[in-house]
Amino acid sequence: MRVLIIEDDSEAAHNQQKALQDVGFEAHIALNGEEGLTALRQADPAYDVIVLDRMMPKMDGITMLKQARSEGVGTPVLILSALAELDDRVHGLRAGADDYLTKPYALSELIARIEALARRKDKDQVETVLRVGPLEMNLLNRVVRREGVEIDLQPREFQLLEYLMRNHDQNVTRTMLLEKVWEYHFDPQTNVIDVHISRLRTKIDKGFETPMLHTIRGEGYALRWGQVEPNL
Amino acid sequence: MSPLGPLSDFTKGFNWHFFRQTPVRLTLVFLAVYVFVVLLISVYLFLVTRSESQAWSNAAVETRIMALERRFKTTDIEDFLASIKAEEMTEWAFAKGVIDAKGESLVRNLRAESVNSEFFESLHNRAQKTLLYDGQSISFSHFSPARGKEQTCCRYLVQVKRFNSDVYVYVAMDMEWVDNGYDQVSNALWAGGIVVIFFGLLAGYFINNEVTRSVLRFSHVFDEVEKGNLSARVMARTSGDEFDALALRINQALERMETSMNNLKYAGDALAHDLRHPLTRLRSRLELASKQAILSPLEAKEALILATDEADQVLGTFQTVFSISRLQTQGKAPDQKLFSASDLAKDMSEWFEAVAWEKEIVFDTEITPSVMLMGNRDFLAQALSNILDNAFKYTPKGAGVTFRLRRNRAYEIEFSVTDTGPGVPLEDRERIVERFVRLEKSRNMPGVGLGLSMVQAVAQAHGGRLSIDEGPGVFENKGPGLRVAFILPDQSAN
Repeated sequence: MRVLIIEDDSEAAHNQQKALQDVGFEAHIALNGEEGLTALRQADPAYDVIVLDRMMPKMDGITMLKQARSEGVGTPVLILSALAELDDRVHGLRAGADDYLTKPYALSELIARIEALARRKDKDQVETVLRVGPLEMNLLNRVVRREGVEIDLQPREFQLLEYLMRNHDQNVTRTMLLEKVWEYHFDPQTNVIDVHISRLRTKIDKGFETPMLHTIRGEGYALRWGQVEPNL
Repeated sequence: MSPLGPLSDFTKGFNWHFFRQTPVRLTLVFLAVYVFVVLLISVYLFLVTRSESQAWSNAAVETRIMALERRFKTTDIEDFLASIKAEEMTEWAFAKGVIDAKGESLVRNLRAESVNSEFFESLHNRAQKTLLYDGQSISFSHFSPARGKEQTCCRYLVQVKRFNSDVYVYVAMDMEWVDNGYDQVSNALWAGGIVVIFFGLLAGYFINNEVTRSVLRFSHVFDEVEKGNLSARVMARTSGDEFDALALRINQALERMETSMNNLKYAGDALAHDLRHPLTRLRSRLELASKQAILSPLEAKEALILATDEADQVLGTFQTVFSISRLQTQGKAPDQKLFSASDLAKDMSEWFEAVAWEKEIVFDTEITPSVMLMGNRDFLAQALSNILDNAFKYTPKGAGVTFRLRRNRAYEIEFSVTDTGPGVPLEDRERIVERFVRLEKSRNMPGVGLGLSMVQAVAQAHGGRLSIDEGPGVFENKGPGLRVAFILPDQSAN
């Protein structure tokens, strides 16, 4: 996977680059908006995700993004910004960004969001059934089965599981769940999300031999089947 | 040093030049206008009355000439002259007489006897120049210099008419009364003017002193504020004039400034104090990790993960402090939209239902349907989440939490959370919304004491308020509990 990091703070950019390389991504850095545009125009093959700093000298992130979109660049864009307020986020999304992350952020959060964006790109076809290992979700009749056993879920639990299944084998952070499932943008600073996950976990893992819904310490959660990473 | 400090301290920006001070200038402008108006009135009066009195006097003189002419024609000359001589008191204002062609006086009435000789010289001169040769009559004003103090007036309106070749009759009207009238009016105006100017200046002086004193009350306070003493207040009087109103406003503004400055100072201290512990832990964990890095990498990793958690907590504290400050400085929550408060309440109750299930707490919700709300959904969600989180944190297992959304009697939108935990003593209820305030018994609970400050800031940024009261009371060793109401203004009018 190819990621273009457009960020004027070179130390932050290199940290991001290293973190992405650690998880097996190819990451390039552009140190300002103009350089970023050039890199996008010359990219071959095209980038899968762009990480764009909002505040940059010369050409700021929003201007650059509008320019890139007008040139037909459809690559998913994640904006990084020190501006936390909702209207700033709205401006960013309106300019054509696909996701918005506020500084300070955790690198794990950044990677989880980049993965989610990259996956969304190659998943435009309409699915009616989601499958992860023995777990099966029918989006039409809203029935969830594991190994053929029907699991009874509340509507919100269904949404939560759907998001986890669509992003299976990836880390999903609490804020991502809050934003995508409940559509709230704030740091709850409570363990409410954990409680919901643990309730969901009792429903899909209890009584089965292999757990599927994992907590990744300090990072979030992941739904996966099969290989268990030697992670803490 | 005077209690007001050295003069130069509070004279910045205040010009002490007497004529530069506003009341003095106003007084001078007023007096100039007054003098101008008096002059205008005088000129007008003079012009109007002069032509009036002139016409009236001319007519009076003319009438007398005509009366004499009639008498002259109906009687013989001896009787005529005798009748003029006989006129006394009745015609006192008029000097009458007859002269012949040579200018010799044939007769004078009593008044004419008392007129000074210059008058007659002048009369004869004029009469000879014109009348004796061709004219029928002349009329003129005669001025003669005053003689002594008794006779200050010297102006006569004179008419001379030829009755026949040897009889010239003159009637001279003493204009003293008219001129005296003018003098009196102008004296009155000037005397009045001087009185007005004198008292005007006096009043101006006192007003100026008064205003200067009032201004000094203010400038003294501003000097103190400039020096950093926010507890300075403008001395309030009870006269209720605009200066007092201004003083009141300034004092209120200073009060608020002082409070928020104190809050800021306190919050700054509290922030530093509260961050010292997590930062110390962070530091020691990092130190530990670097020591263990080679010998026991797994333990090092564990220490690093804990350090990251610690750093996240510190960053979270900063973020909350920042959000509160931004809400408070902006005064109004950004990006407000119309949305369903009932749906928000349902989301929150669904959210915390899981927590209730885990903590084995009875969670009741009463949500009035289709309540719409104008506001920032994320901030409101965060506020409600903070209130509910507090309630669940302090409510023991088996007790209850109730969450309600309703319109209260004032038709305000009221979210309330009632718990049956230990509650908060009355004397602490105001304090718990302050930043970083944590009551003794919650010291060992997670959190940094920003939750309710955030809630308060969100409520105020929506024009609403927070109301904290006692819960349902003590029951079966539980309670008295706490009721936190988050109240937003009635928006149904818009």
